[in-house]
Amino acid sequence: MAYNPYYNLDGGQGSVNDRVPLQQPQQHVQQQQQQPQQGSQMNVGPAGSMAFQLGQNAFSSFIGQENFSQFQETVSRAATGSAYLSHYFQVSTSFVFAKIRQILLPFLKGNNWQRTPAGGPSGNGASGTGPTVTFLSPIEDENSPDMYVPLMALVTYILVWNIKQGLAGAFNPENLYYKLSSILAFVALDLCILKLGLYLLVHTASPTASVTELTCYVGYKFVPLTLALLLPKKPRWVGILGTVYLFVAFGVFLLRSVKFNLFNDAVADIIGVKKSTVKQCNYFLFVYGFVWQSVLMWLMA
Amino acid sequence: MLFGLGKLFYVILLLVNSIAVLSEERFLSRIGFGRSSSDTAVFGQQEGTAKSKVVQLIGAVQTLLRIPLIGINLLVIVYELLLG
Repeated sequence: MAYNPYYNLDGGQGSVNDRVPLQQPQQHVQQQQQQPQQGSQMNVGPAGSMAFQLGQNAFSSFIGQENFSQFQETVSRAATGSAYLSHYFQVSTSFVFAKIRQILLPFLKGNNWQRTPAGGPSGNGASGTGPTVTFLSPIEDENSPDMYVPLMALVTYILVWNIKQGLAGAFNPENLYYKLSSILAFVALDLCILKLGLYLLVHTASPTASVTELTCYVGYKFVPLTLALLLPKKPRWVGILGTVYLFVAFGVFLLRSVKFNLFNDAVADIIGVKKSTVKQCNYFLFVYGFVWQSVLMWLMA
Repeated sequence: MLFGLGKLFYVILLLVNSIAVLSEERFLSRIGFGRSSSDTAVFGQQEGTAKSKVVQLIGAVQTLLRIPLIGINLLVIVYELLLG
């Protein structure tokens, strides 16, 4: 029972909740803390390092010792780079505020919607930049899409919708799951249409149009949806006007942020993009951004 | 308007079925979407126009998904018959 940090003194003084005699477990811990030095350097307390040691033992006896170090390598490599999921969750409070301001008031932002690429100031030469350019994480770059805001907005939207149902006297806890399933179906449909459209129009399979990024862009529409739910209904024209403004602002936000980041990958692509493709892209994004999103948001609200 | 993941799965299954049954020689060549008439593997052309990509996509869906679609359709038919 190595998970119990008070294991050594159970024979002596009794209950687990004794906090006074802690000398014996600490000696036990110091022997074990010298062992996990190969992979990670974490500053955790004695209980944390015990748990880590137990987890490592269990995992390595399950997989095999040489596979374990390989696994550690893959995990540490997966934690960096811009194509992996943890990259989209590195946000800060100021980023969240800036993003919400971008969604609700995209007119005030000006013309700098491009994401700054990491790893090299000017990518114009043939040396240095590889075939894929990684972008800065959301903490450093205000224009980068993230997954935190859409996820939070989705949960908030479901809760607010059910609160409204509850205020009207028709709350049912099963409705939470029904609404979640319905919203996930709409998100999946939206994702399929966007991915299909971008695949047919833009001729590079770029990391800017990968499925995780498109999920971010699709998920941003829950922010105006949540606000549209909170608009008052009594003066009826106020509700309708507010909803229309929110949908238009979201359409502008989506259009600008997707359009300026589509042709961003290798430098040679900018020369090779034909005018008709750009025009088709614009038409598609316009129809998608305004018309389809408004239809979806009207259906979901 | 609740529409759910199950219905979405049915919709996607039906649409993919419809792409898989488009006949190459009887229909696609007639309307100019045939595989021989479009220039897919031409050197120097980057990835082609939208139309050639649609042709490629239809061809890929048909080649890859015809056999698994038979299995999935069988499962759905059994489910609908037995469980209503």
